[in-house]
Amino acid sequence: MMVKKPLEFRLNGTEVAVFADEAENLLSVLRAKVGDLTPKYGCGQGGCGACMVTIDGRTVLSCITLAETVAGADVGTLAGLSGERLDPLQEAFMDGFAAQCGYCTPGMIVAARALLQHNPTPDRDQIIEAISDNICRCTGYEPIIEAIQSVVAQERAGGS
Amino acid sequence: MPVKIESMADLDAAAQVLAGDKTAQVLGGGTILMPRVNAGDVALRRLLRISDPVLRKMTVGGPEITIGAGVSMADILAQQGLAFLHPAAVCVGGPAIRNMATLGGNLFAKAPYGDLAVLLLALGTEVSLAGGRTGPGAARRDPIEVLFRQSTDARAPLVRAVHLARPKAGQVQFHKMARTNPRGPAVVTLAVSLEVSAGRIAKARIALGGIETRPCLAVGVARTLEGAALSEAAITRACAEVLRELTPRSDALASGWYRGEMAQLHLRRILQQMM
Ligand SMILES: Cc1cc2nc3c(=O)[nH]c(=O)nc-3n(C[C@H](O)[C@H](O)[C@H](O)COP(=O)(O)OP(=O)(O)OC[C@H]3O[C@@H](n4cnc5c(N)ncnc54)[C@H](O)[C@@H]3O)c2cc1C
Ligand code: FES
Ligand code: FES
Repeated sequence: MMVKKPLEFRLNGTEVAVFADEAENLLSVLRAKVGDLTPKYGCGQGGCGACMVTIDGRTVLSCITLAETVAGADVGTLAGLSGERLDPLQEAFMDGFAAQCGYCTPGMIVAARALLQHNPTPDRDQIIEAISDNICRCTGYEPIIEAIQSVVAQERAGGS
Repeated sequence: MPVKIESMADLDAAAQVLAGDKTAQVLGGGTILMPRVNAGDVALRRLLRISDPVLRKMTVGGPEITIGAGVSMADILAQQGLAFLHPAAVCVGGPAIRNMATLGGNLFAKAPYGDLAVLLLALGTEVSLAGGRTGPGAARRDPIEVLFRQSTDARAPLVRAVHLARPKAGQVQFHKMARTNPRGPAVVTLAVSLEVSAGRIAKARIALGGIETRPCLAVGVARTLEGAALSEAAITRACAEVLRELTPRSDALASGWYRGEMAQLHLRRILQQMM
C-alpha cells in the first residue's frame, strides 16, 4: 500500500496542508497536489532549473527536493512574486523578449529575484553565475541577462 | 516497490541501521540520490533522513577545523574562515545546487563529480565515522582515502564529519577544468598541497578528480617533488610522472588521452603559480 505522509508548509505566505506520497518530490506536490503550475517539469534530474523555487529564501530545484523536507518551511514560487502588478522582472522579460517559448522563464525569474534580494546591484558576471543552474534553449541567454540588468538599473534608480 | 524514507534523529542509531541493511543509504542534499528516486531506480530501497544536529556543526575558529557531513556548499561559502575551500565549493553546480549539495554527498559522488572531495584529499583530511569501533558516540578517525577505496554505495560507512588542519597561506591550489562555463562537470580536477621548509618541498600531496571513478592521490608524482626546490626542472619531472602513475578513464566528456594531457597541463600551471 502506498504510504501517504501529511505535510504542512507555507506557499507564498499561505498555509498549505497536503498528503505527500512516499519519496514524492516537491515539484510533484506543488503542481499535482497544490495546483501551483508555475514551477515547470523539465528534466526531473536537477539539470535544467525549470522547477526552481525558494525554501526559506534560498533557491532549490524542487524536482530533486524530497517534499517532506519542507515541513514547516516557507516555499516561494513565481506565483508569489506578482500581486496586483507583475514583478518588474516579469515586465522586463516581456519587454526585452527574454521569454520565447517561456518554459525556462519561471525558474529564471525565481533565480534572478533571489539574486536581487541578496545583492541588489549585481554585475554581469554575478547575473550569469546566478542563472547558471537554469537552461534556456531559445534565447541564447543574452536577452535574459539584459532584462535582469535593466531591472537592476531601474531598482537602483528607485523606480519599480 | 517505491523507496522507503525513514527519519532518524540520532546519527549512531542510523549507523546501526546502515550496518545491518546493505540496501539502506543516507540521504544528504539529495542532488545525486533524488534523480535516481525520480527515475524509479529499483536498487534504492531505503533512504535515511538524519536530523542529528551534529551533521550540520562546524568548528572553524581554531587551527583544527571540523565540518559536519551535512554542511552544504553554500554554508561553506558563507564562512570566511573556510576561504581556502571556496575555490572547490563554488564549482559544485550553480547556486541552487550548492544550497542543497552536502559535503557528505560530495565524498561519495562519482566522477565527473566530487570536486570538494579532491581538495579535501590534497589537504590530508581525516573523516570520523558514526558508530565507529570505539563505540557509539565516540567516533574513530580515518584518512579520507579510505572512503575512495570503497567500491559500492551500499557498503559506504556513515560519515559524521571531516577534520583538517588550516593550511598555511599559499600551501594549496585547486583547479577544475570543465568544458562548459561557468558551470560544468569536470574533465579533470586537481588540488596540490605543498609544505615548504627551508626552500625545499618537505611534503607534497597531489589529488586528482575525473581520472579514476573516485578522487585519487598521485603518490609517485608527489615523491618526485619531495626534497626538491620548486623549479622548472622539478615541475617537468613531476608532470612526466603523471602518466607513468595514472591511467585516466574515458567517458562522454573526454577520452583518457585528453584527460591525461589536461592533467599534465594544469598540474604544470598550478605548480608554476606556486613557484
Ligand atoms: C545539475 C547538477 C550539477 C552538479 N555539478 C556538480 C559539480 O560541478 N561538482 C560536483 O562535485 N558535484 C556536482 N553535482 C553532484 C552533487 O550535487 C554533489 O556532488 C553533491 O555534493 C552531492 O551531495 P548530496 O548531499 O546532494 O548527495 P546525496 O544525493 O544526498 O547523496 C549522494 C551519496 O552520498 C551518500 N552520503 C551522503 N551523505 C553521507 C554521509 N554523511 N555518510 C555516508 N554517505 C553519505 C548517499 O548515501 C549517496 O550515496 C551536480 C549535481 C547536479 C544534479
Ligand atoms: S525539472 Fe528540476 S531541474 Fe529540471
Ligand atoms: S525561452 Fe524557451 S527555454 Fe528559455
